[in-house]
Amino acid sequence: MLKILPACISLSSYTLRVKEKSTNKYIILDELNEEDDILEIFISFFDYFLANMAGEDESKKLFRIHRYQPARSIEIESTEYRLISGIVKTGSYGYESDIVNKNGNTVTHHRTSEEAELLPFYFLVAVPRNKDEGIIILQSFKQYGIKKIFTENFDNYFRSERAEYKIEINDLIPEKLLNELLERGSVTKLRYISFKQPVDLADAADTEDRDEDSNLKAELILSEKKGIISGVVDSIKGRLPYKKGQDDDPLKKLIEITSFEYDTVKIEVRVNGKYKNIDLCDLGNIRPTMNITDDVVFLNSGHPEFDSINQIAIDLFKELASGLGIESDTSA
Amino acid sequence: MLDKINIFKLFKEHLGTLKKFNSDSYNIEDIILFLIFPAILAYALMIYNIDLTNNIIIILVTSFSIFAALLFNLLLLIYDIVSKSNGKKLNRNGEDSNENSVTPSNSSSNEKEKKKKTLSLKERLLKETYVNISYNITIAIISIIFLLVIYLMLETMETAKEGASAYPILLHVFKYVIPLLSFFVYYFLIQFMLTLFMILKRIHVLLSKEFE
Repeated sequence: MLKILPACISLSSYTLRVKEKSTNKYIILDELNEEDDILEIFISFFDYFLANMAGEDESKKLFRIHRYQPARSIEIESTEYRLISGIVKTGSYGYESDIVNKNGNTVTHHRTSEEAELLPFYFLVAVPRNKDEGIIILQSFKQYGIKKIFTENFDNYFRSERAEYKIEINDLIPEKLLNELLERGSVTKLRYISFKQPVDLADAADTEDRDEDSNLKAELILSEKKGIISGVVDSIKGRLPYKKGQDDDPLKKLIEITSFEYDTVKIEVRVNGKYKNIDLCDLGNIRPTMNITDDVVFLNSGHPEFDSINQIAIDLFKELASGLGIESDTSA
Repeated sequence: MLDKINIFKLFKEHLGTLKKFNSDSYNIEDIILFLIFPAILAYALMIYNIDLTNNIIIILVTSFSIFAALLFNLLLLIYDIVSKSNGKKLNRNGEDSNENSVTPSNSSSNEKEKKKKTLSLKERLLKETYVNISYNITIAIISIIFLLVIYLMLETMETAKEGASAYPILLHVFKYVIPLLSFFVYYFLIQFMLTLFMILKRIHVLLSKEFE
């Protein structure tokens, strides 16, 4: 019997902010007009689209909320976050197609141009108290995502409720996460790494898919002493990801005397007893898009089980909210 | 007139395969190994009077012929791998255009980029291997021609020694031409062997990728 491989499921993270149009300043999310909470607006948005469907426009994409869970609280570093998670269903219409059963060669249904195939997508919205930045996590299925349709529909709804404000939903950038990590933790080591550069095309093709360690040539490790390394790392904060060969490169100056030719630099950061290694040239290891295909539990429908994806999303949110895996208190 | 047998471009392309990966500059070590070392060794063989006797000529002609035939087959293998790669590329493009009915996201675009990069490296490797094989076939053919010419000259000189009439000037010319052609035969022989090892390594990498 053929084993059906699960489709690629991933989670992408975004920041949520509200800007006041008149002052162009960001507003505390639970103090819109000093008393309104954006969480309430989200809840009414979800309630509206539970009962209604969007999509009667030129985009030809249907959108509705299938279900959502009531808000629960999580405290991270003395900030209370209210979390709402649920399932959105969306799909395109406007063209015809045949639905065929793979076990016979018969057409079981002819999809008309007014019908759409609705696919379920998970979402999580985290709204903090007393802060101006929340986090939104959205699921992708294969190469399909919902960022555009989710944010457009919420933006339209929000503007109809609060025309004096503007919603901003942007990619959660790893550079920002790294800066937060450096603020909260201490740098313990700096590793300069030199890779073997293949000269032969055959060697390059042969090692293309391998891990970087197989090409590791040499390492120069500096341990933190008297705040020197922290000071140097602080000075490149605004220039991340780090690019070798820039003017006044402080990382290069630090080891000038060794004449060690390196290809990348990694830092080890210690926060609350935990160590995290980050490649300064490639912040991909704290990239906020996660492939969770192997971690999630799949239903017979081929889509992830809600509780399973919800737990993974909450774990991801905790890491993003704090920049690293800090213990948190959860209350319903 | 000589357009159909002009192989200068092939020599140029083969020389291009001696460049560094991801760079436009030549790898000095490869230039020394594939171009200078065979010349030094061939010259040493001449200096130490390692002449091409009739037996050696026969053995070399046979060997070159067999290898040339095998290398022609290898060209077909490369063609087969290229055809399969192109077939896979077409299928991938077909799948992408069918799955855009909802909102495409960039969640798998990084993986696609990596696949694309790997494919172009493989394509480059296939092309360079094809050039190397073609070059090796060419120098095998040239060597066979030189060896046959040397053989004819040696036979003519043998016949002249036995008293049969021959143009003395021709014999005089042969005395200089034979060492020159011998030098090139040795040069191409050593270069042929070294290029064969390079082809072996590249075919090994290509077939390993196919198995993966």
